[in-house]
Amino acid sequence: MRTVSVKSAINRSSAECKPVEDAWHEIQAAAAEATKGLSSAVPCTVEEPVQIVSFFSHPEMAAAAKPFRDVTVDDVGAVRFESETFVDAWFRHQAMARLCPMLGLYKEAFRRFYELNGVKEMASEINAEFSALPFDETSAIPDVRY
Amino acid sequence: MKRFLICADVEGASGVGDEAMLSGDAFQQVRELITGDVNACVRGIRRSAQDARIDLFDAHGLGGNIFEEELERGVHLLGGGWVDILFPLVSSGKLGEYDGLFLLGQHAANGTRNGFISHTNSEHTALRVNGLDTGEAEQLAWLAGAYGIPTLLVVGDDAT
Repeated sequence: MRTVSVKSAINRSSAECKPVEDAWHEIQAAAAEATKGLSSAVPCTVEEPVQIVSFFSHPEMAAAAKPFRDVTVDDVGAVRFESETFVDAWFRHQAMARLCPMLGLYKEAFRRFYELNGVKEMASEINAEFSALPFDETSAIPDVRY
Repeated sequence: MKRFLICADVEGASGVGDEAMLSGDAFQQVRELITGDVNACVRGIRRSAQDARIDLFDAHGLGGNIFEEELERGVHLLGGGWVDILFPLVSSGKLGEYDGLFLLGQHAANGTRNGFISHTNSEHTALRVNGLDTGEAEQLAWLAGAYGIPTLLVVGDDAT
């Protein structure tokens, strides 16, 4: 896998960029080289079964748009779960990230987090609640940045 | 004929150096810039695989970021939105029909020191896999890897 850095990241709000024409030239050259080397390319994989921890910032903090970099452990809820495959775990994380705020599960997750004063495995309970819901309901969430 | 998938986010696009560019009228410039990155990548792919089929996933927000009319000829824009485009690609296994993945416009994971607009899926979520802080680029590369598809190129800021 090849990487091209088109800017030096300085902080959340600004970065020093290469001249765009230079960056495009570099991207083109790297893409050509990467394509040429396809036959020897190795897929990126993660060891399975996987353990995932999904973190969610506090609802009040979300409302205030507090940047995650300023979050402390006291602000954060977390759900940990294990899956046989990364794909399965990834879908669970995505579902939680999208559905929990909409369904009020977000708040419940935090309540339990604070009760336990730590990360608690509760994937089975939450999975049971959102498993019946279609993913496309989440497309209505307005505050999405990927 | 080889098939390639380009996933294009915007925060890590060439020339995007100020968070203010991501909103309002200034976002039109971001659209131009990521479209330019995609075209540069496409030209590079075609230099080595002239007849390649190239699909493009507009991976920022719900899509609508790429200027389709400015794309290099023959690029197939799948559309945007992880739910609408990426989820079906993964769940159906069609992701495995590609020969390689290209990640453009990538940014660092939430909490990355000195990252530019670092976030993971949203500003208010983060993800750790097997103890590793994991951003969107890793997620996409591992999804492709699950289907045996190599990630050939990652373009973004130096903290990604």
